[in-house]
Amino acid sequence: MRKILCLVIIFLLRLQMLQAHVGSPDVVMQGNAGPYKVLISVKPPDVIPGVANVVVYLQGSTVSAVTLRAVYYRTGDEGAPEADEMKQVAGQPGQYTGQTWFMNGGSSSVQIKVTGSQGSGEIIVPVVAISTAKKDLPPATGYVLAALGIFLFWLMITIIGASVSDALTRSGEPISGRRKKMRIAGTLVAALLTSLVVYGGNAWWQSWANNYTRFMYQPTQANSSVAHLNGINQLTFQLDTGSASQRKTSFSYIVPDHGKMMHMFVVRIPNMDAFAHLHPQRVDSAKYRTILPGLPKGKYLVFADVVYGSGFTETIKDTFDISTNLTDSLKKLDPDDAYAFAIPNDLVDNPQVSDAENTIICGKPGTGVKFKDGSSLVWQGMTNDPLESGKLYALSFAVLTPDKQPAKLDSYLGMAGHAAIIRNDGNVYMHLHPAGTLSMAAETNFVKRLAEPQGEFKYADPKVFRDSVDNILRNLSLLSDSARQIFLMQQMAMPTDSTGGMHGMSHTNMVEFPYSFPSPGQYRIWVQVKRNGQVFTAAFDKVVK
Amino acid sequence: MSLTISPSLTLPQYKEKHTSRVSIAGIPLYTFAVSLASVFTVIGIMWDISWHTTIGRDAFLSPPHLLIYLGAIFGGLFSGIQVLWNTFAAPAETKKTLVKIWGFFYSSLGALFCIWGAVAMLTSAPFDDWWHNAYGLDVVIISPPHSLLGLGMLFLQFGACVSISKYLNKVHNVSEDNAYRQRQRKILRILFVITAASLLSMLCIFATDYIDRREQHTAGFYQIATIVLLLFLPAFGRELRMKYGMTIITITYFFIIAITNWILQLAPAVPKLGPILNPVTHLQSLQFPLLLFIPAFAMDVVMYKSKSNDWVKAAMLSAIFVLLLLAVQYPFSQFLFTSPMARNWFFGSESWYYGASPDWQYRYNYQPGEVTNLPSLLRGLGIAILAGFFICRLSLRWGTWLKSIQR
Repeated sequence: MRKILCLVIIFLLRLQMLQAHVGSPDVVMQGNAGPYKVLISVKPPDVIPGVANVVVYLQGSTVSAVTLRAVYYRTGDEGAPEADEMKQVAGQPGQYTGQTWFMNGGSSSVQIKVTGSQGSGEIIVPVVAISTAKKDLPPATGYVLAALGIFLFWLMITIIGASVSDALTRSGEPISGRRKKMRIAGTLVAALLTSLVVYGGNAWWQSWANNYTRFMYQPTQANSSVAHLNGINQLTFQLDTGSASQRKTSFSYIVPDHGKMMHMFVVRIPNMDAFAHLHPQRVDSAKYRTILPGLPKGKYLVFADVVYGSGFTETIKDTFDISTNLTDSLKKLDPDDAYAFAIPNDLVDNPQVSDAENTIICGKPGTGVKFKDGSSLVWQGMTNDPLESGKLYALSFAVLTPDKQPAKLDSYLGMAGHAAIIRNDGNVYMHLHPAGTLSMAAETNFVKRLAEPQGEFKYADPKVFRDSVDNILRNLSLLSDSARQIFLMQQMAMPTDSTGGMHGMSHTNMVEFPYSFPSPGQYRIWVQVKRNGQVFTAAFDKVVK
Repeated sequence: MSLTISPSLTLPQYKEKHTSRVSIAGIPLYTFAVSLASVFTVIGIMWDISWHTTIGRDAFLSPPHLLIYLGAIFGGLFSGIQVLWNTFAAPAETKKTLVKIWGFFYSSLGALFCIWGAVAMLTSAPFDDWWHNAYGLDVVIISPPHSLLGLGMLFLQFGACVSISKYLNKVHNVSEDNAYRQRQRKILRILFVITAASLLSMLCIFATDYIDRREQHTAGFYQIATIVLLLFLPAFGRELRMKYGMTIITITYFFIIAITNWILQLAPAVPKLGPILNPVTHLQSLQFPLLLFIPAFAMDVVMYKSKSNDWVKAAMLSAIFVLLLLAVQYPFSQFLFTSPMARNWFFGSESWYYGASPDWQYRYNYQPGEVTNLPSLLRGLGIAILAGFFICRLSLRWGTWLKSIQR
């Protein structure tokens, strides 16, 4: 039964393959447009060229104008059209809506400019512009078009019939028998010819649809393999460089996102209980490797996030099997790797736990998740009521010491925390940051791009680029943990506020993630924070309606 | 020209005298309306393409769209009203001068073509809307919904030609030839020339991808242009019954395209969509019109002087058209394409899509494959002449049919 369930999940995952962000295409970003604190939601089109819907929530400021425009990485600031003013939503102070057009596929963004009494400020939201949807004709439209089509067909053959009979008969004269026969013949010939035109038109439509399918976004495929070498459990993640791979020539342009070439989340299916956040290292342009922690045997889903130099982000999915329970390697490839085994909080029996140190019980309202050092992570405002899909939430978490005092957080990969949201069928996945769903590297690259000399972007030689990235990573690995965290935060141009705690240089005990659940279902929310040099993982279950 | 509002003191009196409510110089207002609709649609479509090339951002009620809809409404509504009036209000005598369809409705043949065109244009709207949702917003001229729209426009224009032909044939068939008839003939000829030239313009616009200036060193251009243009030009010339009918139609085509281009370029406009690779500041023009009046003049001379049958005429017309098109367009297109002298308001050769790089190396240079070698060109021209012969023969027969339209 479990095997069947696994197969069903894998089948469903295949159906959802045409998305750069698995099942969660909307972009949510929290940040500062100059002096103004904003929360931005971008709903990108699923067909390119198309229109993105954007909502801006101003947090506690009064402004005179909010504008938006689409900026492509390829063409930069000069290649972007003039901005459009966003409309203030009636009865919703500080809320503005607008649309912007994505005419080309690829790495794009929405630039928001806020103007008010404190001056003006800008913020850029990276967006992946890709065609992911194959749409059928809605029945109502189909019926209307069919009715009009039949009418046009009928009228056409009537006109042709009349053209060779009635229309050629002198005014006032009756239609002769010969003309009537001509009418019948004309109608029949017209019916044949019009049918051929309709047939040809349909074939043309099909060829158009096939061509569209050919240029739809095709996710990068990968092959995962596990090997046990000298007590080390190595996972190799090989990107597909075959002819069908749309981005095979771009693999050399993958850039680190908060210091890591790849953020990989593995989760055991179907129960979604064993979880790890890993950071594979690049072996060559298409090959990555990491060391697996002490995960139990079973089938695992892999979600691997990569960011290309253009700001294009992609989640690469695969599965792999672990045939026997792994023991935690003494050696870690990356000090920021972490894993956990989560038990649902409604289990009555005390389950057999092989790795008690890394086992957590999913959080409950009020009490949250207890960590092995006695501290706990509490979801602020969590209730047992389901959340609503499509509604923007600020998922807020507090870390408390065993005596319920605020526990100050360390910086984990340059920020207060990370979250991974996975629906229990595996069809929705999102790697969340306090700044939102976006990749920090993509945002940083866009900011740099806007400041660059204009014109079409010219890519460097792939080998030179790859080597330069490897050098940066090598230097980064030589830094101490604290120095590395500061470097990462500076790279991401994080503001140095010490009050919000969301993405300041100095963190409080709070971490907050803005997110809109894309669809109903049972979700597991994994939250990771760092304290005293140690990464802690918490999990919460939530129903979304 | 006198505007005559028919008296309608009593309906029976009115019905006895007139088949249409309003006429100008005895020519139903309806024919003016459909002729005007033809011009509206072609100018509207040129403006729309220019809008997409320059501004990019489309809207259901954009000015070019409104002009196109106005054409559809003019043509479709006037035709529809005519059918309804003829069916429900016209006297029995009038009905005998009309085409009866589906055993109930009475209409002129031209109005039926116009209605078909208008309904096709309307049908294309929800089709195009869904198309945008399924395959993306417009970036090409020729897509299935656009083709349906174009077909609708062509039928509307052709219906206008047929409508005018009915009255033109009547004027030519009556024995009396007084000043009133001469004035009627003159007006109808003007209407026919405008409508036929609009249709020709529309054909050239829809075939832009194949007859663009950069294609004119390939055999394909001569084949496509021959097939598309010779299907209509001889027919129109024959129907017009003028010594230089085809020349006049092609000159009118020239000015419809050229004047629209010249005016469009005067309007300031900037791209509203990105990515912008070519930051234009004014509406971009479409390509400079073909110099069709030169081959058309020679075709007119042949038509006028030749006493041969239509098969021989078709052969001569086809050969003349292809060879003179080659003689004119081959060097002229090279001038338009490559010469800096053509990059100005008059010729509009510097017009360029906002999303295309202005520094593209082939912007003003032929790409490999865009110049057919001489043996292939000669072979292609031979095929064009052969195809043109059959098309021309069909067109002449079509012209005879147009001359025969009575209702």
